Amino acid sequence: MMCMKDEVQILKAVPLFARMPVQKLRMLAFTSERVHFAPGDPIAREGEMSSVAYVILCGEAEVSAPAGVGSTVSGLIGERDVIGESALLCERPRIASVTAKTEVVALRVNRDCYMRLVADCPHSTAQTIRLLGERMNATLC
Amino acid sequence: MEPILSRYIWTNTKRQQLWILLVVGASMIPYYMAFNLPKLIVNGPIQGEGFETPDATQTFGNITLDLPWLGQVELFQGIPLERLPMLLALSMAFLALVIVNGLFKFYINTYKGRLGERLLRRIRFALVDRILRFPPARLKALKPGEISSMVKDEVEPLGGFTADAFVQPALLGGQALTALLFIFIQHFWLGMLTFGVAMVQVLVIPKMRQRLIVLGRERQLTARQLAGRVSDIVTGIDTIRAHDTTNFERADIAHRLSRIFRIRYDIYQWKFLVKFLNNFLAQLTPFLFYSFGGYLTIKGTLDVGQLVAVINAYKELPGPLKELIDWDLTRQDVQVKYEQVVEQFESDVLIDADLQSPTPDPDAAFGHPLSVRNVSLVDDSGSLVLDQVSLKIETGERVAFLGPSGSGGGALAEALGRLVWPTSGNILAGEHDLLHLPESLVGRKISYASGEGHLFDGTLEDNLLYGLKNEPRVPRVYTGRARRLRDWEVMEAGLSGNPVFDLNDSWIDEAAIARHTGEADLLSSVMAVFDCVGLSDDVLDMALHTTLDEAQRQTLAERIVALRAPLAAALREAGLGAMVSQFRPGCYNSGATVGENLLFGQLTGEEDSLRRIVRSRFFRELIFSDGIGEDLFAMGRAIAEITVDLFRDMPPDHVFFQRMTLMRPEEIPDYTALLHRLEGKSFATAADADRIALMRLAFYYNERWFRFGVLDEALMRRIVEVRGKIHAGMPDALKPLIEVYETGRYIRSATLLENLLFGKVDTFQSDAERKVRTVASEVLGRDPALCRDVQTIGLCYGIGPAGRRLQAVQRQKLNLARAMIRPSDYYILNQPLTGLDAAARRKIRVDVVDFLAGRPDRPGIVWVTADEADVDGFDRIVRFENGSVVSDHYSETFSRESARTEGVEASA
Repeated sequence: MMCMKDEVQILKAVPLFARMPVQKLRMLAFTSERVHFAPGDPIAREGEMSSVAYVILCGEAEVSAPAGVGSTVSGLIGERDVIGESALLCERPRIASVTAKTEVVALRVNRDCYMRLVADCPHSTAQTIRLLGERMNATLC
Repeated sequence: MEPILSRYIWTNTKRQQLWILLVVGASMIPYYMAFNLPKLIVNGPIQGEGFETPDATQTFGNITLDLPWLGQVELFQGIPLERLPMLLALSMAFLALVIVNGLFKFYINTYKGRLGERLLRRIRFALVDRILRFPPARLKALKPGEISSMVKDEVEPLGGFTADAFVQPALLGGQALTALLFIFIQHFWLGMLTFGVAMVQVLVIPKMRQRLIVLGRERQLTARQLAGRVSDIVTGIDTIRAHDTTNFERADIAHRLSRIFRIRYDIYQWKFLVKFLNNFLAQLTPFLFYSFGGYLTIKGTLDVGQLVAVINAYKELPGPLKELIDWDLTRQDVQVKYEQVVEQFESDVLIDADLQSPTPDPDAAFGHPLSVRNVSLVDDSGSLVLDQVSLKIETGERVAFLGPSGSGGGALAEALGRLVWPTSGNILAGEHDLLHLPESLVGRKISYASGEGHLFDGTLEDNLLYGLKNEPRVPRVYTGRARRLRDWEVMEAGLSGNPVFDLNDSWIDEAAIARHTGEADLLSSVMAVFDCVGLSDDVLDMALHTTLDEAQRQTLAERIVALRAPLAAALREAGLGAMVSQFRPGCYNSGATVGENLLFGQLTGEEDSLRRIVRSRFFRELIFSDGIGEDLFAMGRAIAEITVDLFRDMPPDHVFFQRMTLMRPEEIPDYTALLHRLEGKSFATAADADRIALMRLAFYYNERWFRFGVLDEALMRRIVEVRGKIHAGMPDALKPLIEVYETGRYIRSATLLENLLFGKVDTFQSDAERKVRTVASEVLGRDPALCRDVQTIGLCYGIGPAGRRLQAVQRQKLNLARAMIRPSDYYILNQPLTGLDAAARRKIRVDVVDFLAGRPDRPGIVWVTADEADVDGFDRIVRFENGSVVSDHYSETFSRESARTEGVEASA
């Protein structure tokens, strides 16, 4: 059975959290909840307001974005991928729908907790900004 | 309101004031008689004056009045008594006077107290009454914290002063004048001298106290602002923490306290200076008597007897004079307080009290349509938010006000809901201006809801039905003691100028609601509107998460237990069996804590029961002999290590602690020390208290929630094994501490849902709660009576102050439902669901508008929205831009005949 230690290992591999110190990541895992989706269960719905992101711990999910939305999202995603990470940064409707393809176990990360942890962690803030910059570049070009 | 307190008191209590003056006057007679009596007892029977011979007698109780012109009139001849009987008679008379005086004092004090309390009640009520009648513009400037501090604290001293307002000066003034008169009779110039010094005291001291009054006013103002600020901090605590401005707030509070301190210190200095001067002047007169009077005596113009008499008479003067000056200080003080409060409650415009009467003028009628005529609105900052708008809204019309925020639609809706008053132009119902119609008509014929309606502390049901409590409809019938109490309440309310409404009457016209919603009764009506706004599931949810109280349990427990089997079957059928971990004697339940699994039950008294069980001999023997104790100890140790490591650097008030249910913030250092102590020690060598502390941690641990990885399958199996041993050998003394999971038993300390499922929902499964609840509600629905009982429990959910225990979206839905359940002619719904996403908002909007349009009275509906896509299904769309109506057209599907309106009359 997977425990918090394993979750921390997976979180560490996610770009958005990569620069956070282990102590903070442990707290992030502690304040998050683990959820289980059966195949076919919706994980995110397009247009829905949400303040949580999901980090897939195991299993595969299918992303279906409406036409015209950036190419970064569509197709299959799996372990260590993040669903709706922008919800951790700002209040926006979901831009795509995600459905569990196989059994999916994910960690539900809450914006409020994430923000509190990032607030006193300059490394992580810098990393987030750099990441956002790269993403902006990718979408604009 | 009357600006001068004394006049306010006199107008409202003159009859009582005169009565108490009379009683006080009458009480003086026995009071002075009691003074004279001791002298008679000592001189007469004790020292033997008039009893020189053994059989001499004196008259007892002779009453003779010395009246002008008539001479002496003997009312009672008296009884001749010998020395010993005389002593007894006089002593008894003394005792009688003591009792009479005491009774007088008791009566006067009670009477005065009651008088003061009534006036206090009158003022407080009048103040709140004025708030209820303030025009909208005035209300915006009010600070809730300051206002409540005024109504509660600042008027309090006025009550105490009321009774002394007139009696005290009359009494003390009388005493002072008598003493002065006596001095004048003895010697004119000494009289003049005394009079002079007294005048200085009476005139100068109050002048000096003027500054005290100014300071007092400042003190009151600053203290009130402090109260307002503190309440502001409490309300805005989230914003303060989120912005890290706690230290700014600290600075602000410290600054205010420093100012208050300075003022108060200043007050002390002046107060004692004035006191010093006052005492000095009081002592100056005797100095003059001795020096000037002594000189006159030596010169021979004044005899010694007169001087002594004057000095004796003067002893009676400073007391009343000082008290009189003190009284005047109190008077000025309360006058200032009163003025300050009244000033805050002044308003140029006040809604006429008659307009708020619950039973209006029977001739007043609410006409149709609702016409907006040249209405302009200027907001507080002076900008024009609505510019000369005119339109009509008919009953039966479904109108959308469309336009971005600030374009005017919302402002017009607020004006229709009377939240703001038009700066110019007016809104008419038929022929009558809305603002001149009784509120009992307008407030019922027009229902208004926005996204920001206030919810009151109380249950869900109280808040939903709030808008229906317009007047007492069915009086409560009282009998016996309750009847007498109610009569007393009514009488007192009348004497304090309070209304005699009874909060216990039935304020809701259930028949009218049933007609309005088309449902059979109130509960069905409530659920119908909750269905519309999407709150029914929440109601059920609230009920399912409730731990029932004794009364609820008595009516429900059996029926809930009976539903366990059908519900389990239904869940299996729906393929949801895996979403519930049922309580099974031979299995570990991963939804429950280690302790619940070990005991296979729940503790009845939580911590205390746990302590008793853990300390019991039976339990200790079990864990030592079986080795499970060692496992729990190791588990607790691992939990403590991880938790301490996680929270070591967190401040104790950090919100993350709310997620840590195993340890309280203040326990972190204790556990750090404990781990330190246990280094290199095992279960066998650890101290008893440490062992218990760690096992306690393990007891409340749940691997599903915490995922610390300290509980594996093998240990779970061991726990289930030990469970069997516990139940086999449990002594009778411990049995009442645990409620064992038995299929036929209702678990008191578990929630309704856990009892229905006889297990726990596996929250690990996505959306498990909702799916299980859907099936549960379907199964509950098979027994309508039970279903209603459960819904009733959900409706009793306390939503907290301002509805804080609800989510923002639930608050908006409840606020909308509160308007919907009222039978009205017009519904003004001003962006009521801003917290929802577009799809959810649209669904509820369609349901709500359909529900209202389907009412028998065919009401007019106005829905304000900023979303272009959110106007389907309306008969008419009025588009706003920059405070004006730019288009007003009917949809193609809308039959023109049914609308008797001409649309836009004029738009600027």
